[in-house]
Amino acid sequence: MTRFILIRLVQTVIALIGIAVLIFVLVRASGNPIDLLRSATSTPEEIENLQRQLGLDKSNWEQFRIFMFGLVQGDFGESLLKRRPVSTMLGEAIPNSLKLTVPAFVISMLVATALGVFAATRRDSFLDNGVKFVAILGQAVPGFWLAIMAMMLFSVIWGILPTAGMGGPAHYVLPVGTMAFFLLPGMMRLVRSGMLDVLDSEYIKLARIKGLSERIIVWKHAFRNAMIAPLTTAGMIMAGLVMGAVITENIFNWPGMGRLVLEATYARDFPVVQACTLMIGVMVLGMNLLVDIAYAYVDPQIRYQKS
Amino acid sequence: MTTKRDIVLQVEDLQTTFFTRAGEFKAVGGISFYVREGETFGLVGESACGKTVTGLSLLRLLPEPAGRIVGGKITLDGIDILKLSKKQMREVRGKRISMILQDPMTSLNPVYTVGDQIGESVRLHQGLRDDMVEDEVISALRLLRIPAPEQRLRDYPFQLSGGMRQRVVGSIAMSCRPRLLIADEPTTALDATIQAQYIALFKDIQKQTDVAIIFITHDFGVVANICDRVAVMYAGKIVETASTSTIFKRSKHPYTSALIRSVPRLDRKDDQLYSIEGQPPSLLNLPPGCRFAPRCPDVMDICLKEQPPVVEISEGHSVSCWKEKK
Ligand code: SF4
Repeated sequence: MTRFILIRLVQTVIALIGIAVLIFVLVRASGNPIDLLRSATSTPEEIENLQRQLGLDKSNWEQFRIFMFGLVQGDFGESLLKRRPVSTMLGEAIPNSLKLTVPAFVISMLVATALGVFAATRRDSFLDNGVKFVAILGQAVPGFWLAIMAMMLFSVIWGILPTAGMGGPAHYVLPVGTMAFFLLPGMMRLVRSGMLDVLDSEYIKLARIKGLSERIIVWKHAFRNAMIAPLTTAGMIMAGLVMGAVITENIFNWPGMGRLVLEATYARDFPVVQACTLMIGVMVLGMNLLVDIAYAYVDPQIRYQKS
Repeated sequence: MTTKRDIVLQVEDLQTTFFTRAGEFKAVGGISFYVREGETFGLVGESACGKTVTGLSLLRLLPEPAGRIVGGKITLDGIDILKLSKKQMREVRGKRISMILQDPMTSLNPVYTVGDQIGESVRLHQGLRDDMVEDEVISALRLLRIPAPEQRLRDYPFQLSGGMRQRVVGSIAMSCRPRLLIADEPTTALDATIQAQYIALFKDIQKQTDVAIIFITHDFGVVANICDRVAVMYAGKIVETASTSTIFKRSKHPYTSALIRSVPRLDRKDDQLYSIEGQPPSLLNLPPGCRFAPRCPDVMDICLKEQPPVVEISEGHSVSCWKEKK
């Protein structure tokens, strides 16, 4: 088990280096930030000065060396646009993003699990059909559209919730709800179909033959097996979470990573884009690592193969 | 048979139907039999003849909501099984009646250890403390002659071979020393040598525990090896019941005879394997007369009109065929 985790850690670090290189190349392929920063009347000397100040006059190799060297020391450089240390900006944005994503993740997982399991155990009932309907709806309706509709209804027409921005508890309802909606339908469908497969299996029949109660059959014997399939797709869910965060934060003007990275991309603010992407990479890979550990915990076969 | 042992299970006119959109499948159409202590009773027939549904009916574990027992009586040690509440029935399952399923590769839960899966039954039905549960688990593994039980109980199913898994399934079934064990083709998925070992093992276990066994199979070769008495099922009905030796020597029902003739035998060199032409009738609309009539070589007029009654032609040998009702 320890060996398994160590191997995964090394893989994670290699993946992060890959992300760093890739994002370094990609942001530079998007164009020159000077074009956006300079004013229309800037003289060539002024432009050259600006470039020197921002360190953009150096060769790409030199810039890459500085970037990687900084990274190792935990220094992400300075924002080209705001002229503030990127780490300070991240320090503000990350907690704000977590305040959205963590509750959204927890709520959607709990609700998806509960509904998925109940739907599977009461197949073709009213509840099951409801769950199937929501799952299809969730996949057909774009989350951002739903968010805007919800905003219109609750904030504009009824005026019971604030439209956007960060503040008291009421400010959380719509963004958290939107983000949860990004994850919920897919997760629910996975849990339901996983449960249905498992409930049909011979070992569930054997569990019934043993005289176990339905509660133990469902939550002990079926659930743990049914979670294996959804866990394998957890990587995709994490990606969905990031996408959801970018969209939600921008719709609701939430000062988190999602908004920061979008603004920085528009402005070609290289250091910020690089740092944000890396941080998102760290979070996604970290979550995936946790998922893998959970996976090994759930399925003994994995645990034994990898150690 | 010298002294008659106690009857453990008595089934009278059991009828099980599946209610589906396509109609009512009369999977079991009124069958009666009994099983004595320490006896192995074979339930033989082709697939879909109702033998597995009979087994599940005894446990009241039919697939819900389609499957239902619509008539008859099941008595286990004097208790009317069909009158028990759901909770009482759960106390019967795994404790008084156990079942072994066909495929050892899929009938154990992949994410729990052997010890956990056996211990669960023990804990549930015997209410033992944790430290005593392990002793019971080890004794259940020993009963099935599983080597090194102290180590095996920490194994996961995927670490065991098919034959060993089926022994673990046997340990689960026998862990609470049930009165009745239903074995649904437990050896079909195993290869020939392991199959023979498993059957020998069960004969031995039966001697030790006096458990009554219902052995469900399609294979008359297996019947000859393990069963004391046999009932042959066809399209949801028992067509003939007799002791194993009587069935092999003096079977009366044309279907039984055909089945026995289709068993490959070493002492006969005519390699043409006999097979019965045609197919069993659809359980959706059964013929009014004998269900075997469309395939029967001896069919008579009356066979097509009326169902043949069950006739006891000698002690313990009963047949449902118009040929025997002169
Ligand atoms: S009752 Fe008639 S049709 Fe049925 S098995 Fe006997 S002889 Fe054949």
